[in-house]
Amino acid sequence: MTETDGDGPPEDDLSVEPDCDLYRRVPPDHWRLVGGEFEIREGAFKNFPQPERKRMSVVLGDTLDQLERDPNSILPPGREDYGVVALKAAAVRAECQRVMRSRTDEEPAHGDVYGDKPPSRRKRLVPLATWVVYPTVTSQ
Amino acid sequence: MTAFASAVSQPMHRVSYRGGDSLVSRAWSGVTRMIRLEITDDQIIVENDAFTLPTWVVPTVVRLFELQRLREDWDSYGGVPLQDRHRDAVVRFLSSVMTDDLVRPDIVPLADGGVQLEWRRDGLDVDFVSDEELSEPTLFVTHGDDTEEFEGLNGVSYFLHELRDSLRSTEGIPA
Repeated sequence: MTETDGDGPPEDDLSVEPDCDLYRRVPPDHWRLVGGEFEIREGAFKNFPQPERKRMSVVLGDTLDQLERDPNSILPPGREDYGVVALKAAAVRAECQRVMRSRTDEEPAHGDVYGDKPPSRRKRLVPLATWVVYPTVTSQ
Repeated sequence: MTAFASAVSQPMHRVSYRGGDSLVSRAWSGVTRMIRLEITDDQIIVENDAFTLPTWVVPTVVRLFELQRLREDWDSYGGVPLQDRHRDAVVRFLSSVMTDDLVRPDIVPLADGGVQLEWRRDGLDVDFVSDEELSEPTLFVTHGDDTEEFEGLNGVSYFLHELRDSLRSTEGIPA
């Protein structure tokens, strides 16, 4: 699938199966510890800084499996304070999003979740996400 | 007293003015002039000039200052530092709403240079968002699955007392 910014929304890539995990890094500013439990903040599911792009980067679990890589491998080196969460493709599609494969040189498993993500939608995505890699807490 | 003088002498008070957002920046300049911040890797020194500020002001200013100093790509997804107009929206909103008996919100950066204020109470989420996607800063009040949206400060002013009641701290309130 090719990049279609400016040419209308991309098609949903149905080769990404409904139960495919879409991994998303969570920086320290977008999680918090409450009663010993990690909570995701809605800001973790915001689109790219350029709002016209309407896309959120993810790493596709099916491709990651084919590459025999662990979700830990998507973390920036030395950033143990980051976590990784997973959303199911079916869950984001139920929120009017489209899933794209968008391989890059740096990340062959790269994908995008395309669609508007206003605050109310970001809030609904939070309980749909599950932690795959917990952040390492150094000081709170 | 001119609006500008009022903003500098009482930066956290609402003042009447003409000319749109410029006064907020002026008020912000007033705050940062009166609060001297020295932020290093391991300490934050705050000095006031013989001026007693509401207790929420200094930690809020420090946090906003930190967010303005975020490095590019702070979230590994191309995130940019807090932008001035979103900072000003937060200052304007908090200046209208906050009193010292209210819980301070978490101040969370957004990837596009926006910012989200988050209050989390039992069964109630209150979020104020200013970012590049919304046409204007908006308050979201969520009870369970129901979310109400209030655009701009005018929308908030209609239920300010109710909002404050919701955000009032249950600890340390004088009897």
